[in-house]
Amino acid sequence: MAKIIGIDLGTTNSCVAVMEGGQPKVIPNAEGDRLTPSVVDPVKNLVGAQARRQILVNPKNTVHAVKRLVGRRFSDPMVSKAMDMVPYKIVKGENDLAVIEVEGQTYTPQEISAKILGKLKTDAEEYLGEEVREAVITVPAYFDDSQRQATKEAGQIAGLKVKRIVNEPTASAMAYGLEKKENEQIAVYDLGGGTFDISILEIGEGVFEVKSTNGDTFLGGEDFDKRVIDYLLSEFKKDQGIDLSTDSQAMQRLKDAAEKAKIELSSKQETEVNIPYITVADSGPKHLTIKLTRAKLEQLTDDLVEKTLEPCKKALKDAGLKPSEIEQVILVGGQTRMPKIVEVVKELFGREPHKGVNPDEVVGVGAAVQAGVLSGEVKDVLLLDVTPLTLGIETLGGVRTSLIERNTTVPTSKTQIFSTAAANQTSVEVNILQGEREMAADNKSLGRFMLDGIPPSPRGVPQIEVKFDIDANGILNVTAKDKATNKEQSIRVTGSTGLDKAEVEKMTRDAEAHAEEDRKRKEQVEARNIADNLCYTAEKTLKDAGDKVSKELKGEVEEKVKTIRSVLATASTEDLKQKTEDLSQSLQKVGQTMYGAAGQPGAQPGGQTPPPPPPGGGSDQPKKPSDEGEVKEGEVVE
Amino acid sequence: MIKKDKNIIKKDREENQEGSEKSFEEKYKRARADYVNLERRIKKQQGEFLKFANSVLITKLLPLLDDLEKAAAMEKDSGVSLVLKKFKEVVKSDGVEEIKVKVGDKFNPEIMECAVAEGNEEKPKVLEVIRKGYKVREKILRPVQVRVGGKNGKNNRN
Repeated sequence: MAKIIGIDLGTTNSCVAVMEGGQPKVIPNAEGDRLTPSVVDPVKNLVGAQARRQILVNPKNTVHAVKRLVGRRFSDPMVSKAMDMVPYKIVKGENDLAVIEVEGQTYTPQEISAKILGKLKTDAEEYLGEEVREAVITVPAYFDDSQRQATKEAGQIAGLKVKRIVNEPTASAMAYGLEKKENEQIAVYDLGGGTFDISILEIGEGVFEVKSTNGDTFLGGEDFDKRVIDYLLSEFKKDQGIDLSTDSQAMQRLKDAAEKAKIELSSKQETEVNIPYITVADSGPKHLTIKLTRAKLEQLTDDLVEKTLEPCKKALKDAGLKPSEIEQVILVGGQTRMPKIVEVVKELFGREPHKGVNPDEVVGVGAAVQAGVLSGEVKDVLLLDVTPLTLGIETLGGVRTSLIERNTTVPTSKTQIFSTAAANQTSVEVNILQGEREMAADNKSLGRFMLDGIPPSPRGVPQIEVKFDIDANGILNVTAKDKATNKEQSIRVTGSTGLDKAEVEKMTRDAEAHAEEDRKRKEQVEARNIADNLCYTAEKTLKDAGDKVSKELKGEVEEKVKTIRSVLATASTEDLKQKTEDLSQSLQKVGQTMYGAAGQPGAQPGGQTPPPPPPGGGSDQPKKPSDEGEVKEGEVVE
Repeated sequence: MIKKDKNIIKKDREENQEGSEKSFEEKYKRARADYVNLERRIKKQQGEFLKFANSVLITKLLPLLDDLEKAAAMEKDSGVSLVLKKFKEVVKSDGVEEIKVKVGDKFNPEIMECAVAEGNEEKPKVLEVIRKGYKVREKILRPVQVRVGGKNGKNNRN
């Protein structure tokens, strides 16, 4: 079944998103950007960033802000206003509708919008790897029927069947999942690059109703930037006596720096605008370095922020609501990242606004959610569970070896091969653990079972395959199988995912609190395992070598093995590591001697492999209860 | 001026209710398709990531390069020029190339961005490079910012 895409067809920028695996995802365009400028040159067929770059060169051919014309009559006051603002030619077309004339040819606003939609469609197809035929497109809540119809037509021209036209504030509410609410009043505060919109919605029984809208079509983030630029210009003039406003290079650098500073002040209290060599005077090169604080920025833009409040109050009044009756507040548009905006909005409605969705993408994301509702993807979202805590088994020395990490989405399974810790060990115990601690004893045991009947063999040789499998219902099946005999045992644990939230939090906190001490303990056990394993290897090597090794060397190795064994349970990690290293050195001498002796033919030990250094390691441990998990980590099979 | 509009989501949901039972196979197929597509995309992105891994950092460093260029042009001492040379060598080693544009070139929006326009010529030409542009292979990190205009460049664009 083909995908339905969600499109925020904006005045300045547009955004396309799609539901994927039950989650809305913004689709980057061919240039790699998540927003596409709503700018079109219909003659050269340029759309997006490329068209925007030539606005000044080709003012009469570069159509932007066409959304202000869509579905409007030529006599509409908004059209005359637009005509004053844009350099391209707007003329009267069929049925008195406003159309655009470029190089003698007329284009309807729908045709221009269709170019933008067409690019979004192509980019979405490239991303999805499949054809896209259907879309949900958003429009401002105040759009009338003819504007909505025109938007629909734009979609058709672009080869898209428009499944729904959705109001932008409704889409924003859907981006935050508010369609599930019942009888709530929602305020959507949308401060974009060039326009401000406030909408009051009511959601009830799956129906969104726009109760009122208000705003300012000529107020946005660009005005904020301009304030910063003007401030920097005047400061520089005050300081250096130089007017930079006529220097196009300096102005360009200033514009970039001003926007950067504004953005930085959303997360920092202070920033420095630093433009070295901004200009050259008789006295030499000049640099611009001006400190800008968040407080200063707020002071510079105070009236702009204030200007948004009046429409909010009007909208509330029109909706017949008091600020305190608003139950959900949503912020849309990049400029709402400014902490001061969040603050005043919070103050006005007495409520913390929703956070989480990128404010530039809220509308597009919401359109994708609506598209998902239409295709049935949203309703059917499979709520995939995760394992809240790590699942693993106890291994040699009481260490927890994890098989399935916490937050893994289920259903899932994992298989790993373990082995025995002692020679002729015929059974292993599998102790299933849940939790985040490094040592087995600190985790919760979900169950344990024995696998016996393992043929007697040297330690490290048997291959015990342990499989953890969690099904969609959170039921954990643990199976241990001896690969030699195919004998297996298993256990079923229910409720491994359905943990009490408080319990999960407690266990996670505990793990964090004990992280360092757990790490040390684990390190100690590992050092012990390695030391013990090397002792075993050393003994086997000496046995295999027979009389090829001198008595002195043999004695040296035996002595060191003895020393390690005597302190194995008590020595510090460092000490043990040092002693292990010592033994390893001596053992290397044995190896050298053996290779030296193996020069003559026939000396190759048939079927006898050189002492393998098994991974991990182990030996008979003092039989503490927690040391009974005689399986140790080996290679991962999958 | 207030235009009320209803947006019906419940209806959309209900429409989908019908036939939702029969489409388990379809849902499975869709989930599989999403997954296969995701895998394919990740593979592709990994390739691109390796190719353009540094472009984010380099793009952030470009203003520094601009500053150094300015400094080298204005300072008499050759020290800054040496630093600039070194800096350029570093970015070049990661495949970053300056987009070459000269005065008199025809304006090309694929690689250029017009910051100032003078005159209203049919075939606008570059009068000045305001800020250099850079690319990594064919990916534009930053377009060249230019001042364009015709022969008798007068500011009468509107």
